[in-house]
Amino acid sequence: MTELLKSLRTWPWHIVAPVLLFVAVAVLAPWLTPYDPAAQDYMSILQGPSWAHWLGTDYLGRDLLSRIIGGARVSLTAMSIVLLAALILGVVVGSLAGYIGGRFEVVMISAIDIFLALPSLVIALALIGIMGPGYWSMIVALTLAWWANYARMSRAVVVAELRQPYIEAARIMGANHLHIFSRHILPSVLALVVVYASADAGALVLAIATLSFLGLGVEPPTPEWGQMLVDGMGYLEDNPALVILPGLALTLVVVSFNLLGEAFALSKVPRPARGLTLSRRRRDRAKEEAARAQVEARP
Amino acid sequence: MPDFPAIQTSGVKVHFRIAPGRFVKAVDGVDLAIPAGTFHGIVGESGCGKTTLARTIVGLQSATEGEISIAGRSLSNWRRADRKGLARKMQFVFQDPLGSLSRRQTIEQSLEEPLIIHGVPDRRKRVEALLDLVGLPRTALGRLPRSLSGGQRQRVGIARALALDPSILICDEPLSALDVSIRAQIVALFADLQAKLGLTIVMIAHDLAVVREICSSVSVMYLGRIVESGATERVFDDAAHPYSQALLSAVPSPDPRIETTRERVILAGDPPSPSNPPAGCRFNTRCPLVFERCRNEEPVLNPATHGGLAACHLSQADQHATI
Repeated sequence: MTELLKSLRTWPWHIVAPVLLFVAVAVLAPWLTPYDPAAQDYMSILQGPSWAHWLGTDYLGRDLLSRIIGGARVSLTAMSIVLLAALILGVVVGSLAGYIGGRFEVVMISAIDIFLALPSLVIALALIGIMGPGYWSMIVALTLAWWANYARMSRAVVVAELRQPYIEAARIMGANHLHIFSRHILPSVLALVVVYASADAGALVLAIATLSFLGLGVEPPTPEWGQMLVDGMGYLEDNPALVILPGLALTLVVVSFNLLGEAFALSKVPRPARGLTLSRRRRDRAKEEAARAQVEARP
Repeated sequence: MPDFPAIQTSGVKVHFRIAPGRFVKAVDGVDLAIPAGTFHGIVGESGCGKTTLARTIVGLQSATEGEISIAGRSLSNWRRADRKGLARKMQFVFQDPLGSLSRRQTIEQSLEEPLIIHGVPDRRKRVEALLDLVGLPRTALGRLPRSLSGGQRQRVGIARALALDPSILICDEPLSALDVSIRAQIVALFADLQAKLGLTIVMIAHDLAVVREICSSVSVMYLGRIVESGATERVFDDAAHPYSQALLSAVPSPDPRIETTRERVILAGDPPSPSNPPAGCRFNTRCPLVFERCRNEEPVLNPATHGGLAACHLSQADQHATI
């Protein structure tokens, strides 16, 4: 626990903060929105910014600020469900394939490859075509379009880990499969896959907006950014904010998730030692050396 | 105490298929009986199958043929009926101490793991006792393997192997990944542990000087077979098999007078491929004393005229060979 607190100070806060802001806005949306995002008010249609409506209103008199905040909540919810479902499905299928091996692995890999060969949005569109549009069919379609990535990665990690001598050591200690899997394999799989998923979150938010933009995702009364873009397009000349603001919100969220994913990836992948990095490495090595010396100096 | 050997192998073969119909015969008929309480070394050049033999004995590798028994009970029976019991009886020390410890686990977690698997109570106390046993300070507990030195990591590996209080320890080249300066300490640790805990230790090694120093008996392997076995002193001073003579003559002597006049047997060529061993005696392609019979008839491991066991037509005690 103290380790975690210590590492908290070295976190790249300027990168984490925007993502946290998005999550906070989404979670607190019901308390932040000044109006019900779906409430129509025909007395104030297509208004510009005012004290009553900070960001103006759309063609049905709905408060734009409330709709953007509400949209954040819808995006976050849908994205979290899809990400969680895809992670669970991918990790379970991929790990089992890697752990069991043999013919089962070959079959699973082929299935994963089929899903990976097609662009995920194409898969999602095809599945929605079969199931019909709607919130839950969008969730299912996106999950099925996304899981293969995680399955492939999980399998690769499992296969690499299984070859490590420490797994053999656990076997010799009499550990059963469940112990080896939960104590050694799963943590390594999650360490990689969760990092990758954090970078994927942005792409998912975008995919949800795309499907809703096409009218295949979140249904109309619910505020959703992609849908707001379509709604606003007809009134581009009257109130460009109707298109610009949801677009801006979407862009910022996607960019901040991508930056977060990149920061995670960079701290994982060793970079070429040059300049500042080299001096930091030297410092790290000196620290490690000191730790070693401390252990060596027996009491 | 029981009168059966701690480890017995009879006709153990491990063949790896490399192509249809082609096998690498890594271990090809090993008979070994190691009495309880001995420190047994297994030596031989690279690729002779020593590591495969060790992995087969602990069950990491399944034998293609032959029978292994641990404390009088067959390995397959142990593994089928009492895997945890086997783990408490026999443990393994790995060659690569870093790879054999999980890089995510602290030393404490690594040492605790066997205790958790076997539901041992009072883990913290046992872990501390293990640290004392292998000479590591308490401060090592919270560290990750990569912030320890090679020697310390190997101490952790040994401590973990001893956590369940086994009576048999199989060590696969436990010293070869260590610096020479650290080796002496770990050798001393092994000798100390063997004396203190009365362990049966089988140590795979290619550092012959180390084997000579700590092992009470030794087997020499060549191309998947044991060519000679016996008490360390006897094998090193008066080897019966020409291959042992050649291998052991490579050990330098600390005495310069002996070192300058020491007779060295230099073998010509490489060992034959283990996928296609020569007919007759396996050593006949490189043996300086080869004669007709060696090319036709494979010698078996029999009591040698020198004492111990040797697989050579020239040294069988029961029939004085005539060339």
